[in-house]
Amino acid sequence: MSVGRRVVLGGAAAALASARLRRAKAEAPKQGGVLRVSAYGDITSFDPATGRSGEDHVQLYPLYDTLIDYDFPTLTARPRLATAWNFVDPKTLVLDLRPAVLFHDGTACDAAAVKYNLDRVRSYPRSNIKADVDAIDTVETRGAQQVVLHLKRPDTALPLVLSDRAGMMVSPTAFEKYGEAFDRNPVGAGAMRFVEWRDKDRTVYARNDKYWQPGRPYLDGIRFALISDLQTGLRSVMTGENDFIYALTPQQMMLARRARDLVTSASPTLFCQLLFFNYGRGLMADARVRQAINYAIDRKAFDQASALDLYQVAEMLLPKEHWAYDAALAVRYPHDPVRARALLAEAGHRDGITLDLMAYNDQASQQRAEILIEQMKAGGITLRMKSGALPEITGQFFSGKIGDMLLAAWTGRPDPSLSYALMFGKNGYFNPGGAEMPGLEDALAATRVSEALDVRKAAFATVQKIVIDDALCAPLLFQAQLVAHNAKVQGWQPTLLGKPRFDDVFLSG
Amino acid sequence: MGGAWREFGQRAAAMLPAALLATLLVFALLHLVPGDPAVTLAGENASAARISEIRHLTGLDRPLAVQYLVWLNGVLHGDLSRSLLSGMPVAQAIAEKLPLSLFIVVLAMAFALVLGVPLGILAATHPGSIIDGVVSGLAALGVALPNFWLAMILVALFAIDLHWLPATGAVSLRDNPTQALRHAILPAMALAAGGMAEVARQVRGALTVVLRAPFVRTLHAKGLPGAAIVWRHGMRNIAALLLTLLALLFNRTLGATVVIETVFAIPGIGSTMVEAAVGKDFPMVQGVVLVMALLVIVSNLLVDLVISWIDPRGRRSVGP
Repeated sequence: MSVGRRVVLGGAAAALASARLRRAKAEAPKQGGVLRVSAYGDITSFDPATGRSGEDHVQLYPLYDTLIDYDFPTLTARPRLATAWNFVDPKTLVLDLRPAVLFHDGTACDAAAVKYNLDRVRSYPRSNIKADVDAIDTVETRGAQQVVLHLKRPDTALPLVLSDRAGMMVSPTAFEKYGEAFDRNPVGAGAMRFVEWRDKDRTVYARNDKYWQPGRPYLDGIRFALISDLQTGLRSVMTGENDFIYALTPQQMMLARRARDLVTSASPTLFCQLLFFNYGRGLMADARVRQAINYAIDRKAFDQASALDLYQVAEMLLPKEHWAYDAALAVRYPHDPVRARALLAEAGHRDGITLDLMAYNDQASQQRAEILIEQMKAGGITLRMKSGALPEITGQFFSGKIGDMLLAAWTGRPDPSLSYALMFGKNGYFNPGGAEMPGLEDALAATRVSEALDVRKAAFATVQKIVIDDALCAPLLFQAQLVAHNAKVQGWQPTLLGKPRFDDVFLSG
Repeated sequence: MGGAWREFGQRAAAMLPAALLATLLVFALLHLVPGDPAVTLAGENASAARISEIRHLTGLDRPLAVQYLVWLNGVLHGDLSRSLLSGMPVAQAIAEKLPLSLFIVVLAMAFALVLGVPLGILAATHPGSIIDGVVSGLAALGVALPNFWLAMILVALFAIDLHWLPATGAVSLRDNPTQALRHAILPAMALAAGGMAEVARQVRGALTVVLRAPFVRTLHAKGLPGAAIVWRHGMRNIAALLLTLLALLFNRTLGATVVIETVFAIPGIGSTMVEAAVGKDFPMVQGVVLVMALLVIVSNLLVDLVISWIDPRGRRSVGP
């Protein structure tokens, strides 16, 4: 559990609560006040089906309750709008719904509304999440409080899929009224209702007085100041113009820790910095070359140099706190440049190799790329870097099939099967070479057959073993969620997903 | 003046194609740079099929010429289209954001003039003195200082340490004039430094030449006070230069808002343009370019008009 030497870690049950909190005093929750959050980036759409960025969630969660929730520290499924769920057979999922839940416009959030939503995300032409719910064949209502999902194939990833965008319930009445304009006129059943969105300026929410959870929310409202420059956002918290900022860089975290009256917190997340490989291309098609790259990387030194030792070294695509983490696979690639050279020699590259590295042109990415270029030299690997803006480089690598590897990050998904399918599945968009690894598709399918966590964990171990043994990517670090807020903000809990939620937040004083 | 207005109208009409050409160039450049907005729009769970579907839905699969002509047809009918990324009407976005940027630019120019002109006069009326040296030094410093660095220093001092002024955001003049001014002061000061230096240098240089002219010697011989000579005769002689400088400053300051808006988290037109260009939001980029080009053209024409009005030589050259 090495999020960083500065992070004081508690017991296993408090893996996330291990967040380092300074000067925070425990207080009984109280009602009232507006939380002012400096949010990194504008929301792409308030319609959960048409949005396109993982950064949206922080602004979607207050508006939309999901059918199923996830446990903050472990990401296991827990009830929310669905009080219970059950796979009566591998292809039939039954959801029991919470009674007397209303959308902000007064529409009942019942079985008919849930069916409408699940049909909508699968059939709406602008929906970006059709693939998430592709396993659903039909949705049937049984009375007002029960829906049955008939599946095309077994998919036990669905409960956690329904804790993400697909499970965010929108008011059918509002969607029928607004159509495409629902993107800017959201109506959900969450703790907050929408008030205003000014592009690149602010989004404003007010308390939902008809919220189903008694005594919640504590806050009268939330105002997100949309500040894309994190340094500027941190200044706004230091001057008292905002109360809370997240997604700080390690360097900014150091600054926040020196600031008067600021509370800081660092907690692990799924957000993984990694090298995507195009393993269908040239030298990268040889597993020994990909393994050599993994051996050539000194991840600990990489953490110290690029993240001030605040992040967690990534041995696979799941951090130690995740329920599907497999410790047995964690030691596959220790830093060993000699072994890297030996593998290259075995592959017929005694004099080393030259590969094309794609990287984004922001300062932090450039720094990370430079460190990797230096580390790889010792392993006999010369990297030629090509850098550019994120949309440009992402498009070139994944669509244009340009470059051998891309230095980027994976934000993670509530259910790991989605990540593995998107990144390594034969048709996964993030598998630019489209190469199929023997046994991987079957192993992926096996992760969705059983609902039992221990069975799923074993199935994921098989998937991860293929990914790691064949070195289909090079995981580097799991980013920590670095947060700073003033002392008024109480009750904030980090999530392993790394997307901030303010469910339990209240303001003191 | 009738001739001047006619000239203004003719030149404005002649410049319109230039503005449209600017949008065509930007459109072509954006398409030359690799990257596909459909990939951005497809989101985190993108698939090749979904990207292809989005291209079709947004018209990005049409030939480039058709895409441009469709946009141009919309413009001619008063429709600047919608942002690909936010879905917001481009005209509405510009109408919301442009006033915030313009307010900062105008305030910055006011600071530059209020400080730069007296400093230039002081230096010109004391050539070779310590005052001249100090003004020249300040002017050199003003030109050399990067405005984003100055912005951060101003924030550290006036917002973080003294808590006098806000460090981030902007308020519309219509919503709250006092708060709008408080939010605009620091960014305007950061933007004004370079302009102030430029104004001081130009005023000093031009006024020094004027004050050495034979007619000024005559004015002194007639017993006219020094201040009257500077204000009534000196400044009138350099007014055309000052106006030209103002037009240049306006264009330059408008461009510099891109960086300053990021430092102060101002949702203005500059930051909108940058984010749209990075995200390849073609309709937004073209809409902003068109409006900015028109703004620059109109400001330059207005300055020309005023110059031709105050300068008899200019007036003679206008119209038949």
